[in-house]
Amino acid sequence: MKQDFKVNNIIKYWRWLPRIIIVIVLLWVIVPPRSRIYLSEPQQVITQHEHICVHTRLIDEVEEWVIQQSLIYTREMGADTIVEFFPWAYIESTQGRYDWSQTDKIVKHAQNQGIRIVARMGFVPAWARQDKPDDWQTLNYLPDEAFDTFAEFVAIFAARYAGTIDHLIIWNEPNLAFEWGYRQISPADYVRLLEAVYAPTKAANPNVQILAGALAPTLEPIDSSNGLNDVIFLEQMYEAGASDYFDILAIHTYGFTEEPEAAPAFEELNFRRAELLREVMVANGDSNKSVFITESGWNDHPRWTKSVTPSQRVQYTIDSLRYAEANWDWTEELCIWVLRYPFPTFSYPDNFTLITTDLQRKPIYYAIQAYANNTITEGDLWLDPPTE
Amino acid sequence: MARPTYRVIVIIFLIAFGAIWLGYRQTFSPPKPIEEVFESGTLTIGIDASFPPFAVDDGTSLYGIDIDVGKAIAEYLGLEVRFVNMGFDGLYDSLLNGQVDILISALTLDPSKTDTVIYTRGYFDNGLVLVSQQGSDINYFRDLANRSLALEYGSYAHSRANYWLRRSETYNIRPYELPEIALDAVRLDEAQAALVNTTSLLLYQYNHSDWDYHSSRVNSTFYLIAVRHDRPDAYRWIDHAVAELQTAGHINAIVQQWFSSLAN
Repeated sequence: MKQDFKVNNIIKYWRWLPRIIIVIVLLWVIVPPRSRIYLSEPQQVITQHEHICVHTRLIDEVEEWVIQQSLIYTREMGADTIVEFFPWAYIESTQGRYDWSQTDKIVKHAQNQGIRIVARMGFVPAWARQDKPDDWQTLNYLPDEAFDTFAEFVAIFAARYAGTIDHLIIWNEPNLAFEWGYRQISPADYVRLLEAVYAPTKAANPNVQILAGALAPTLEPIDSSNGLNDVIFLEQMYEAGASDYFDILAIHTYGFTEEPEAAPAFEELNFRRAELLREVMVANGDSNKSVFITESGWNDHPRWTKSVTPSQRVQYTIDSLRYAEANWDWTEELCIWVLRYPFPTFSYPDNFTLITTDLQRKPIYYAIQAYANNTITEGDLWLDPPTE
Repeated sequence: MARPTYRVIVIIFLIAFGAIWLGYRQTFSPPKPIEEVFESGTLTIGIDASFPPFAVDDGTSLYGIDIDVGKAIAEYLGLEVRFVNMGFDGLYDSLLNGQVDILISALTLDPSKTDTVIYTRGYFDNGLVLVSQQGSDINYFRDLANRSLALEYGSYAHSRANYWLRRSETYNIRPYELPEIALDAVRLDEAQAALVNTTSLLLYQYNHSDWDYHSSRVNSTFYLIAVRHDRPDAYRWIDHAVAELQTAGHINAIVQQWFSSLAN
């Protein structure tokens, strides 16, 4: 009787075996396949002009091979530095839980190509924004009480990538209302954010360089609800004591419809507007600090009111690189906006790119590559217009 | 045994009926009255007025297709209209933050925004068109075999042409600096066809009204109006207005008027 009981039990449990095997096989099948992206031997950027840099948009890229290919093209173009956005909202979407998978991919491939990364920090997760159901805030909204929480995140980021990413831009264009989350534009508030970030980040990575500013070139007057003139904003940053809380000034300077040599003026938006911001630095005793131009360039859309023709864009971009190298010894990097978008806008922003979304290199790409190598682009890449 | 089965069937039927009824109610019941949806009586529209012929700011006023479409929608709904001009990068943030009710700014569907935004039906199709001389038999990419195709270097048209080149018989791509030069190449018989977007063709057409050409649409890229997804009643009123204005031919009339006036 006892023997029968044992046999019955064994039979009973053995009946589960095929089911368990099926479950294991199913789980095996649904596990994502391992990456088939292989790293090459470590590469090195070869360039005759070390200030060439490009702003990338890799964080939203789904395919790892596209991240890799974008960085291969960056290296082959002769840019040894990229600016890339690492949104807090993506990495710590749940408080205390960090997803470094995408950032690690970007860092891994940039290192493999011999490219230095300047990291732009921003975008606030919902839990830190403290959204209410009927009172949405945008990803750029950082309430006062979250300044220290943001600083903690920046310090964790700095520690994780110490030695690999040693340049951090704190926020983007805080002189524009939408970039400041529609809070009241306030240089003093931005300086408080820099202050909150500076000491903990330095403690996490003593070699880190804090980049401030990244101000939008704009002529908005003091009473505007849209933003504040970048020159005024920088002056007010210094009045609020900014100098103690950053190491390098990040500048955005676009040419719009003017050539790069066009003289700067307080009421003009052009490439040499950067010189006005430099004057503010010098006037405030910061002449020993350097500048990274983290966004620059021209747009060649056929109909945008602030664009130039594609051939002008090529000429102006190369001339701006030459101008900065010859005249701005305070500028370490000149980063062109933008290498590529992960998806097209089907509007004029697409005409800021050097490479199309499907990775086709544009004439501007080849022109920068030729400049980096001190060679000449072989022939025109587009055909001459037909004659009537 | 029969009773429990019967009960289960009844419960499943009630759940299914309830779900269908809720879906029907959600879909077909009329939206809230317009006065409740736009309490201020004003339709506030976010726009980037730097993109002719859709929206331009001349320093004193805003004008263009998007401006007139916005005005027509507001008029149809019995609302006042107010435009808030801003840069392209700030458009979606202004919508999500409640600074504006809708966006009309030559926007196409952006998949990365669809968790927070609903788009209405299109009010303009800026898709690609194949353009050739009148009498040509070129209607599809396959008709281009062993012929030449003019286009703007590095444009979306160039990407599509490369894509089809991998899937059809060989054709010769002739890249030019601008879309109007690509169209010149066809008009002056330097290329057998050009691939450009609809806006480029319409502007060119008005500048070369004596040119008799043949065109064939390759794809659609609709310009849409963006509304916050948590304002479904606003979406339904705006989408309804677009549909009615399209049916009445008003939107087409606005488009034609602006292309003819801005082309020169």
